[in-house]
Amino acid sequence: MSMRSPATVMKASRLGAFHQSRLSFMRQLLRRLKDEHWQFQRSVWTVDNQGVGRAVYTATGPLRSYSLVAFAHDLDPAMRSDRVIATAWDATFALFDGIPDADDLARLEANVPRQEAGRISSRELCMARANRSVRMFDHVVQTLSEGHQPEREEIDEVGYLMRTTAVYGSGKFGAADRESIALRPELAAPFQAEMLTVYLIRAFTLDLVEHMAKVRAPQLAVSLAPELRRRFGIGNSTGLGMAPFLLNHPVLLNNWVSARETALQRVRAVQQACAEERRVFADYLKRASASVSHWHCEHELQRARILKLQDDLSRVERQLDDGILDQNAPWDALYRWAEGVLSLEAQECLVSLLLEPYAHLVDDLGGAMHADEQQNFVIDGGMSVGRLREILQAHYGWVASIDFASESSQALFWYVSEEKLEPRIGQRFNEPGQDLEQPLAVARDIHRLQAALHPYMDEQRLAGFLLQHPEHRHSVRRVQLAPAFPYADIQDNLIDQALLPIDLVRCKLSFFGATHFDPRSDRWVRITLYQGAPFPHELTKMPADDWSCPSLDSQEQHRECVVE
Amino acid sequence: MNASLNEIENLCKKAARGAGLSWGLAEEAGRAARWLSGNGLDGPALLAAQLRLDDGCVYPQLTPDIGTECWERAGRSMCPLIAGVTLSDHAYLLHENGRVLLGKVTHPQLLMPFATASARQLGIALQLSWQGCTLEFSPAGQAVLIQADNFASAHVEGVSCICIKTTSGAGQALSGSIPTLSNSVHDYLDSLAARTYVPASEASRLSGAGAGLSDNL
Repeated sequence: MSMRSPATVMKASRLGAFHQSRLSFMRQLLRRLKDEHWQFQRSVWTVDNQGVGRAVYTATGPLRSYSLVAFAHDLDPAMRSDRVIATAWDATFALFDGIPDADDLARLEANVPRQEAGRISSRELCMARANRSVRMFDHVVQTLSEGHQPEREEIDEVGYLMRTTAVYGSGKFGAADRESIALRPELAAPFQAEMLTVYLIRAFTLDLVEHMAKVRAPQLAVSLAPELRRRFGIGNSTGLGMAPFLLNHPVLLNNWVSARETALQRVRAVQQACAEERRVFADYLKRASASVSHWHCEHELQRARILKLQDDLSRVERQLDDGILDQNAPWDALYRWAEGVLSLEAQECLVSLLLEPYAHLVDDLGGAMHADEQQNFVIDGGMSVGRLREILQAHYGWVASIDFASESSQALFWYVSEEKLEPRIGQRFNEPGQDLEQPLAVARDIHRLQAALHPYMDEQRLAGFLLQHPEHRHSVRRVQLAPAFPYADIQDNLIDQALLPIDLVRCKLSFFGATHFDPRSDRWVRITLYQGAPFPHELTKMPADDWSCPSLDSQEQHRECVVE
Repeated sequence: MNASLNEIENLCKKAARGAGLSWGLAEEAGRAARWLSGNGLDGPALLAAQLRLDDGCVYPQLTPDIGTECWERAGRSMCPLIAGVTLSDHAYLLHENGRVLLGKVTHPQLLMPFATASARQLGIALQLSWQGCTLEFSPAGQAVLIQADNFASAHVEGVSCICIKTTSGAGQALSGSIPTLSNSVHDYLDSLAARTYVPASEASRLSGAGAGLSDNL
């Protein structure tokens, strides 16, 4: 049983159809928190009647503690913007390495509310901020203060009380470098500090909404019922700034995709599925189908894809009913059927669902998703030009199918805006700035590299070529990675007029574990994180990893409501 | 101000690009500054000093002529970034010849990250020396200062990079916390980095990030 080839997997359209899975970083984190019996404590809560103040949540594992330091603000609605250019937020956060003392909190209070304009230190792992979903937040405060619970349908329509608009880690704004914490087992998998930050932010947003209700009507107010409370995740808006990440971290991208593809391969290689494995799959399929009905989206393209997904998942159910699993290698049979007839959105949803019954085959692969990016940087200048040509032929054959003579194939260029220092996309032939293009046009640059290599003999060494052609150095570095990291490159022209940047953004967010992708344009997307997950105080008594699709009971109840 | 290695690398990469180096060389400059800072040296200050010299030069002026026994650039000193990259690319010559000799070069400390990369890549020990200063690099990349005379020279007449059987075990391993990034160095590098940014227009403000919809939901 071979893995799906990079030529199949690494297309932007397929990467843009990825769904969360057992390997997603949020799910890896929660499994660890539960397995290792992490303890959680809200040690500080000095939020006033206006909802302004500070809170500290400390998570303590077997080796270390981490603390979310939260600052709640009174934000003028006119200032509320999810864009990275905003300068004020409803709440701001830092993840502190350990347990902060009074001096630490004072230092953080002087800096964290200012976000990019402030500085944090190597004692902090992350910095983040969030804005309220004003309508939902006010509604829940009001409802609880009147002694009532909000309606489930109202909650599901939005899915969160606050949206994070940035979660910075990895040394940003003075924070600890990734390499200084990467050897800690609890932070070894990618983005674990960021995922912990968001998990604790979610707990804070629910505490805040209940606090505000209590303040409004101390006698009458109630807390949210636990089942409803869990239906609140954290929202997130992500724009173009995240898109170049996958291009700038090719080894990381390879390791993420490779883990997922290995997991799929292992499940497809299962010769006989036992009754319990089949039951778990069928259960998740039903839950996924039901959860798609809550996937709200106004983006025309995505809406059509969701409708098709609903239809396709019903077809999968019919295949099960028709006995497709009653044969050897049943999951392989199901996957091969799906590959021929289902949409990409449904195929990739199926890939994630196929992993669900197989924790024992899949979950250990999470340990292989990090990357030491300090390795693999050095170019092998002793390599012959002929060997580089072989690699190009084996791994970049797809570039030859792009006609770079056409204007549309080079219509876009990536740049960094002077105003906000963020990655942007411009129209090459209509906007100024293409001389300041970022090195993200991988296919075109490979095409140029191949042309520049033309006069060189196979037996010549790359060192000589690079001395004469420093402009191809970044491409040579990339190409040399390919044999060891075959899933490192997206096999598409990312400066073509037809590029959908949200494909790149969604791919990354799916590995985080995001759900309910809601593109707000071709360039930014809203998502929900941790919706349905147990809260920190519930982890000991609830399963840590059974929340990525809502449970069927509540779904069926919901369906009945809709029918009525 | 305090700066993380990640910030130092990114700032230095952008600054090197802004000063005119290719993207691939700018990546090397960023990594070099990061390595120096991670070993307790002031990577950004060294890079800034070198970029002041490189700024305005065209690439052929900065490259070594490697056709002779001793690599040189006729009529001027070599840029240690480009000499270092060239050394690292030609690491196989260290295997074949046992040594590489460099002529006049500025800020030779900037050669160290490339020597350490070569030692690791080849899996051998290397010795780098100039005018009384000697450093050794283990096959694992550990840098040890054996003799510190003229360690911080801004300009030297020649540098040798020699394969050695094993490191001597003497000297002091380079280490230390990340030095504070001085405002003047930061501001200079930032001004170079700013040359890589595209000024905003009204159209790009709206279309560039794809926003324009209300966030007050």
